[in-house]
Order: sequence, then C-alpha cells, then structure tokens
Amino acid sequence: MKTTTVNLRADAEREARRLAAARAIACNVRRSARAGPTNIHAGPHGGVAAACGPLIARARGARRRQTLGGRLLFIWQVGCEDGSGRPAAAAIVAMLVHVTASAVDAGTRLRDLVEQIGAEPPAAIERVLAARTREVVESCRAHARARLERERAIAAWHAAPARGTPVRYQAGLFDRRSERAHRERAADADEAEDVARARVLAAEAAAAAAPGRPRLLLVLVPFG
Amino acid sequence: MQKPPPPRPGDLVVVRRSRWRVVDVRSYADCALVTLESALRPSAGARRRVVSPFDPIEPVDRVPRARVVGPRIWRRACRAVIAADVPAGGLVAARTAAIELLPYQLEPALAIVRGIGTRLLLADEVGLGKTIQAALVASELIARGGVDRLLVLTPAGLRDQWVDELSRRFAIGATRVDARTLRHTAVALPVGVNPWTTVTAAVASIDYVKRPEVLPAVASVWWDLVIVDEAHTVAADSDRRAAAHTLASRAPYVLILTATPHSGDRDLFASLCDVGAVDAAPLLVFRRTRSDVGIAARRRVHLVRVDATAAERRMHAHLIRYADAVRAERGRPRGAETLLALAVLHKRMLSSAWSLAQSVDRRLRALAAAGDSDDGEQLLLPLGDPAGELTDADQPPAWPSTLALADRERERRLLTALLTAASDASRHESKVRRLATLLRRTREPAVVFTEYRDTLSHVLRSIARPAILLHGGLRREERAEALQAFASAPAAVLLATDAAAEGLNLHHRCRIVVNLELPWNPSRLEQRIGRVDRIGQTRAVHAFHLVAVATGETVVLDRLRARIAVAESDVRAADPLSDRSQECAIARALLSGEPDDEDDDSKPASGCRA
Repeated sequence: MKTTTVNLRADAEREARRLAAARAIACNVRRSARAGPTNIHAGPHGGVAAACGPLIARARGARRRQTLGGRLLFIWQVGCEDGSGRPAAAAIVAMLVHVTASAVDAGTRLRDLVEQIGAEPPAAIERVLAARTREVVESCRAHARARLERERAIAAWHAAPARGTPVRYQAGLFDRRSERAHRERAADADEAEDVARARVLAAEAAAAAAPGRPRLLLVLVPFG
Repeated sequence: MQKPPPPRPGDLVVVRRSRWRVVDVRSYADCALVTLESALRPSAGARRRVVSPFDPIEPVDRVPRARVVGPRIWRRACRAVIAADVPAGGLVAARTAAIELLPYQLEPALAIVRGIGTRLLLADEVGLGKTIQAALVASELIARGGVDRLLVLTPAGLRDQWVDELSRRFAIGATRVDARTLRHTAVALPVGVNPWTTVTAAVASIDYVKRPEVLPAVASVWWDLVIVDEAHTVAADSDRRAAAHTLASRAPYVLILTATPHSGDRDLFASLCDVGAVDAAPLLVFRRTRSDVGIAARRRVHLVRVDATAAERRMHAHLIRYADAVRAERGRPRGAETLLALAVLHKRMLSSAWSLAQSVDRRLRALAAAGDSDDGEQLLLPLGDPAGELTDADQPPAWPSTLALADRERERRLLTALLTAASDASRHESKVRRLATLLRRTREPAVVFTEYRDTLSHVLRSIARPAILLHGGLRREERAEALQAFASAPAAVLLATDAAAEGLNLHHRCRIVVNLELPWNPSRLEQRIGRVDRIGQTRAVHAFHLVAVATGETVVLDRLRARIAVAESDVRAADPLSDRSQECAIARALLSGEPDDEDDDSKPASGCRA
C-alpha cells in the first residue's frame, strides 16, 4: 500500500476566486445575451468558439482612452489540440500593444492591420503568445500523461498471466466443463488485453497535445 | 472518394437544412460525433448531436473577416471571453455547476486536471461534501472529453441521491441501474447486446453488481471513471471488494469515497487503499477535518452510563453460563467460530433483552422442531429481492451449528433459563427507559440507532413519542415514505439501523443522535453521527452513547478507544467517543430535567452516570 498527499489549498482558493468572478461575469453575459448574439460562445474545454473574425471597437470616453494610453488592446486565444485535432485546452491572453497612429488612420486600414496581425503576429507578440501556449500545452500534457501511465499499467496488468482462481469441476469421462471454462477465461483475457491496448493508443493520441494557432478575438483601439 | 475534413468548433455549418454552429467534435476511427448549437432564432442555443459522415455537414463558406462593432457588442463579447476563460490547470465545469464554491472541494478535481493522480481516496470527515467533490471530478473529466462512461457504486439506499445530485448540480444524466431497468433496456435491444453498454453514467448498488450473474456484464464495459461510495464497506475481503476491485482495476480514473477509511485495523485500511491498484503508483489521499476547512466543530459527545437492572444482570449471568458451557465443550479446534457466534449473542443482549430473547426463542423452536438434528438454520436465498434493494445486515445471522451442546436436554434447559431471564429483563429495560426519558426531555427530533431490527420494534413500543422505523427490510418507496414522515412530523423520532441509514442527510431535520448500544466498529459510530453532523448543520450536534454498566459493554468501549487511537495516528480519523467539552453537564441536565447551560465551561469533562 502506497499513499501520498498533496497540498493544493492555495491553488484551490485562487481557483475558487476566479470561478466566483467568472460566474458573476457569466451571469451578466446571460442577461445581455437577450440583446443579440455576438458570435462568440463558450467552448467545450474552456476558451471560446468564435464564428467570426476579430471584433474591433473604438474606445469611447476619455478615461478608457487614457487607460489605453495610445496602445491597442488585443485579446487572443491560445490553446492546444490533441492527436485527433480536437481542441483540448484554451486560454485567453490580453496584451496592450503600441501601434503608431499613422499606421491606423482609416476604418478599412484598421481592419486590414488587425487581420494582418491576426494572421501573422509580429515577433514580440508571437513570443508572448508562444510562452502562454507552452503553459497550456504543458498543463494539458501533464493531465494526459497521468492517464496514459494509468492506461499502460492497466494494459500491463491485463497482459500478465490470468489472475484469480481457475474454476474447477470434478473431472469426468465426458465432462468438458473445466476446459470450456478455461477457454472462456482465456478468451475474456485476450479481449481485455486487446481493449486495454486500444485504450493505450487512444491515450497516447490524447497525450500528444500540440499547440494550436493563436486566434485574435477582440481588439480595442484608443482612437476613432 | 476522399473523406471531407471534420468541422472545427466555431464553424458555421448547415445540417438537415438548418444553420448550426459547431460546439464540439469528437473524432473516432470511422466517424465523428459533432455537437451543434442552433444559430437561428427562435431556436438559437438549442443543441443537437449528429454523427458525421452519416449526417452530411456542409460548411458555410465564410472567410472570418475582422469586423468593427459598437462598444456594446464588443463589451458583451469581451465579457463572454473572460467568463469562458480557463487558465492552464484550471477547472472547466465548476463554473456552471450548481454548487457553492468551497475551495477545499475543488482540490481533488484540480489534482486530476493537473495530472497529479488518477486514483484518489476522498476521506474527508463526514458531511464535508465528498459526493459533490466526486461529481465535480466526474463533470470536469466529462467536459474535457476524458470520461465517456461513468460508474458509481454505492449502497442501494443512496442511488437516488446520487442520480439527483449528478443531474441537479452537474447536468449529468445518470441512470439508476438495477435488475428492473436492465430488463426493460434488454427488451428493446438486439439479442446479445449487453444492456450496460447503453448506459453512459450508471449508478448501481454494489450489492447488486457483485452478484456472480451480474458482474461479468458490468466488467465487460470499460468504465472511464469508477466511483466507489461508502468504500469502507469494500475494505474487508469479500465479494463486494472483489467486484469493486475488478471494475476499478480497468478504469483510468478511480475515486474511493469514505469518511471512515480506517477502523483501527491496518490490514483493512491497506486493503481499501489497494482497490483499483494495478501498479506501484500511489493512491492520492485527501483527508480534511472540519477544522482544516475552517468549519467550527460543534459536536458534543455524551457517554451515558446506564446501570443494569437486577433482571438484566441475571440475564447476563445466564448468557455467560451458556457461553461457558459451549466453550467448555467445543474448546479449541473450533474456538474462533464459536467465539464469533457467542459474540453475536452478546451483541444481541447489549442491543436489547428483547432482541436476545428473540434469538433464543428461535433457537429453542428450531431445537424442538429439528429434534436431534445437528443442522443449523436454513439460509434464505434473496429470491424476493431481485432489485437488491433490501438488506438483512440488521437481522441476526442464522444460528451456527457450532453454537450447540451435545447434550440437547442441557442446552434446552440453559436456553430456557436464558429466555426467561431475557423476557423478564425486556419488560423494564434500563437503556430503553433511559432513552424514553432522554427523548421526553429533549422535545426535538432525534435519530436513534441500533444494530438490530428486533430492537427497533421493541423500542417503538416503549417510547411515548411519534416514531418512524427505518431498516433494511424496507423497499425504496417505503424508505422514501419513512424519511418523508420523519421530515414532516414535529418532534418525531427516527428509529434506524446502520444498514438503512448509511449516507443519509438528516442534518436539516435534527441534531441529536442516540446510540442505543455501541457498535464494535468505530467507523460505524462516526457514520451514525455523520448523518446529522454535516455541512449545513446550524446548531450544536449532540451524540448520546448509552453504555450499560456490568454487562460487558465497558469492555467494548475500551476496545473502541484502542481502535480509534490507531486510526487517529494513521489517518487522523475522527474520534466519535471524544468528550470535547462539558457535555456531561449537559447530559446530566437533559436527563435530570435541569436547565441546559451550554456556555458553562467550568465543569470538568468526563463520562457520566445517569
């Protein structure tokens, strides 16, 4: 018997605070959803599934513009996909970026610029996104690795010689019950081994989490 | 023909001539399960699942262009993004779960998500919400696509509670699986299809699943998450343990739930920790007490020593005489078996004289009917209970053949004398009278526990309070009715056996637990008190243990204390016998009718004689 303990108290408290804040915001989102769709929805594994390109807005109000201080607010989604291309995890990255005013002087050019940044982020942005993506991928891999190890252990356990006491019947001249029982047990063991092996392959695919392409979701510009 | 690539979450698609947004795609070898959300009003938000390529999915060709929007739409989108954000290692499903966010309850789910472990023992003190923690782990794994099949093994009486919690709090549509539901399912399935494969989240009784004709079908389904609730019942080497281990050893995620993992027996604890173990990977243990999580302990334990009457002492002496005669004759070779059988008789006596009288009377009638036959009582097959709802754990076991004398006439004489003494004692039982006094003076709802069903009916006749019986012989509907009656009747008394009350939440209804006799296992004692001492209990909980003096129950008390000490040192187990404050003063006040002064800390804590 081997047991272990882990102290996640601080993390759990932080997580509870985050969840409480997310609940409060989600409540607000539900209320305002009546005003119409935004084409941005919660995804199944965290993050969002956006059915449109980035949404751009101009900051209204002096205070908000002052806060932005001439910078653009970019909100990205980074994430990873499992071996079958399914989104496995996602996280949001917000960043303030200096862009010269001359680069953005008209509505059409702003859209082009945003699309260009969304398609090919500049190196400085790329570095930040890559760092956050690594965190997400690592977290996703740690979860998948634990499962993979367990699946491998299960497969090894089932591949080992059959456990349990064999069913014994009194031998008789025409009695083949023991042989039949033995054959059934062997067939069950073979099937279990096959299933366990298939599950290991699936777990390996899930553990091969690869970084997904960052997606630019929202942009707030300080001028307009 | 080349297979079209599966859609991606967020894509707009047309399926069955309607416009949908793709929410999730799960790829399998030859197909993909696609979850869609309607993109058109008035059904916007409605969800459907289709299997591609059998349901053709046509992408709506639209280049995602950047769009300049007004501040209101942008703010709304921004809120949606922030609300849905899950940082690395965070929880996905907890946000939408209908639970209060208590940080300690998130820890097991965080451990699983971060890959710290896959086999967990949730051994928090009673009433700290292990069910919620386990369900949170399940919903988190389901949300992440790590669990397609979930199996909850629980005592029969808790199945509905599990189904309700999973559905109400976590939107997991679990099915209570028993013989009846399987029969109904099987009728609609082609021959040879295992009905267990049609259930994605099953809640089943461990006693049903362990049956040799049931277990192979359950085990052939490879469950992704197996939750073993009230796992102390699978610690001992038994069919239950074998079934739980068989199922858990195939599951990538295993949760073992019990508030009482350690009963003072280290071998049993080791056996419990090995459930589902297939390698040397350690079991991740979560054991939090009330003080750990910042909930003030307000439990008062009262040891009420009850003086035996002359008739009870006589009964005790007759039982000892019979026991000595049996042991003298049977001696060493079958010593342990005989001792165990005699222990049951002692337990019956400590429960109530009436209970002992019933056992002895049955034995005498069996002796009269069987003549000199050496056979024990015939064991009954559970033919009348195909659903596995009933339990006879609160009934005495069949009288074993080792508990007999070669000289049947002498045995008859000894047992007749014992029966007479027990019948005399049962007319004015000291514990029952003390219980009646206690209940009369408390004037609030209370739960009275005893080990045997016979004692329940005897107590029911002896107390002058509306009482409801809850025992292992009640079917699901009858149990629900009994609990409903307890909840609605003012100052009602619930007379229960352990077999029936396991896992019940009675803390909203009452705060008083009376143990008519001490169970021999400290886990059981803690489980009893845990019915009312749970999160949400707003008042101080009072546990009364009635201990008979001069009948051997003080020996039981000493042994219990020793076992509790071992469990405490190993896993910080709770001490259900501890005198945490001036409870004796309160007990004395309750029994004597003097005013109850809870804030008086001046009096010393000790056992008290009432």
